[in-house]
Amino acid sequence: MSDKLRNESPNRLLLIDDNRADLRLLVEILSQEGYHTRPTLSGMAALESAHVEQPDLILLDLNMPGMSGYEVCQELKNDERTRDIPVIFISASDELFDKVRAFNVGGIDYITKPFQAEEVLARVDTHLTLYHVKQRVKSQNERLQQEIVERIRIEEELQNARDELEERVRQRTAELAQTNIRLKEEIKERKQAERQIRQLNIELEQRVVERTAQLEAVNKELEAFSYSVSHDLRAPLRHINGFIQLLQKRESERLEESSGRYLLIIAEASEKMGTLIDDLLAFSRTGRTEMKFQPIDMTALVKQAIQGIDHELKERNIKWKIGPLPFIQGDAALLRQVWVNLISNAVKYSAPRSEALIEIDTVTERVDGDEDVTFFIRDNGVGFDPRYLDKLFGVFQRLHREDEFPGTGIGLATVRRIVYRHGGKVWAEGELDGGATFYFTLTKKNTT
Amino acid sequence: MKTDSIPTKKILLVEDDPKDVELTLVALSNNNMANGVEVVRDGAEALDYLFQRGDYVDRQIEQPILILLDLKMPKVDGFEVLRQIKIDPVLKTIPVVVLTSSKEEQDIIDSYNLGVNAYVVKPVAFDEFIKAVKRLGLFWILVNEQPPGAGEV
Repeated sequence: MSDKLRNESPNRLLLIDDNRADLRLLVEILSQEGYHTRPTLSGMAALESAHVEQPDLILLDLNMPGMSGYEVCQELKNDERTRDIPVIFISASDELFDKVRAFNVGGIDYITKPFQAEEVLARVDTHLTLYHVKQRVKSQNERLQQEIVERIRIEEELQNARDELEERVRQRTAELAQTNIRLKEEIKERKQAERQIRQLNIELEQRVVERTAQLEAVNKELEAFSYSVSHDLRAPLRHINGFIQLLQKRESERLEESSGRYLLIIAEASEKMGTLIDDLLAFSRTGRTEMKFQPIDMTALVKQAIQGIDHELKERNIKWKIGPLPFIQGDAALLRQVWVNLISNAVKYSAPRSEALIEIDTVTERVDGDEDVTFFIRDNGVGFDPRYLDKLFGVFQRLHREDEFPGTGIGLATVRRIVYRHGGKVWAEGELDGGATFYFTLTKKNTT
Repeated sequence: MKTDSIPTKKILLVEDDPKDVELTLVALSNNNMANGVEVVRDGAEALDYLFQRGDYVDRQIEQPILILLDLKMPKVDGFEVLRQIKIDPVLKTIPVVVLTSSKEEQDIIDSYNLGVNAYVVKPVAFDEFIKAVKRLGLFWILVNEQPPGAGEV
């Protein structure tokens, strides 16, 4: 039959017959077909042999002394090792009873003696084929079983993994739910904080509005005050001065020198007071006016200031040295005042010199990066005592007597206030009778 | 009074403080300008005078060729007088010089906005005041060309 279904190695057949001649005949027939045969004469011997080396098929005689074929077959079927081996009975008996019994004990076929070689071969072949098929099916089954077991195991593992995953997902979801709750609370807190901030902002703005209104009110009061001062204080001074002069004219003949001198002092005092009022008002204004920032050509501004005090320059011998001055940001009117005051001082305090030297320039060394510019004005006048440097910029503070040099002592205070409002600094150097230098810084860019 | 001689050039002085009136008249007379000065003591009087009404309804004198105007006066102040003068078609050609103690910028601005011709701050020093009045007189009466018809009724 089909070689595919057989073992690779030639099939082994176990022959059991107490009749030597029959046995020999079987051996011949089967060997010719290429089968390996093991003939045995008794059941005992056959069983032993089968246990040692399992044959692929057993041909078994029925009638034997000692163990009968039936008993041998039973033994074979009882033993696990040999249970599946196909057993073909061979017997001289053709009785139905024997045949049935043979099948009952587990035989699969029955050949009657005398047998035909072709018949034996055909049946052996068939049953071997069957047997091998069965074996193959059995082993396939076993494999399948194993596979099933394996699959089941894998499925179990998969299920475990899935369970684990689900568990983790559950946990993670729980964690996320927690986080969510926390986030929601945080958001609530944040919103509340924002609301508070907005509220505070509104309050702050409200306060700013109120404070601005207050400041504006104060400013207005100051303006009204200064306006009043400006007009109402001057009128009596004019009257004092006017009528003193009229008195002087009327009584000039009759007055003694000392009386005349008294009148003069009174008249001059009223004029001085007028000047003080003017200076004080101007000083107050420098602190109050709104500053208008714009780019300013300092050289032009200095020239304007010098022109402005032209009347003070009459009959004076002054040598000016004005360097190229940069453009800066500032309030033109206020800065012009600064120059007017500083230049006026330089002119005034160098009056004793036959030739006054006034130098205006910038300091070249860079301080604080390139944002600041330091201007200076130097004169060769009478200077000042540096021990009193800290009084120099005070309001109504003077370092010279009125009869030496006239003045109200407000010029430098005004300079300092204006420079401060521009965010700058002002300072001075001087020696007694050795001239003076006044410095002030301004920034190149906007100073707000 | 009025003959066919040259009519005296009148200056109207509007000033409420008698001491200031006195000082200003002295200054004017020092410069030989006191002859034709009419004095009114507040803004209301000034307007009555100029518009020939009230107490001055019978005024038959020519209009002043110069008005010296104080700012701070009771009842009607200098600004109101100035305003009314400068919108009146007849009066607006009369030069108005504000003569005041006030140096306040706002007063200067307001005055010029109303059309004042000049703004003079009275110095404390009287001799300076006399000089200033002299200059005023020289300019407005002698140097300045009067508008045609000035000084007529």
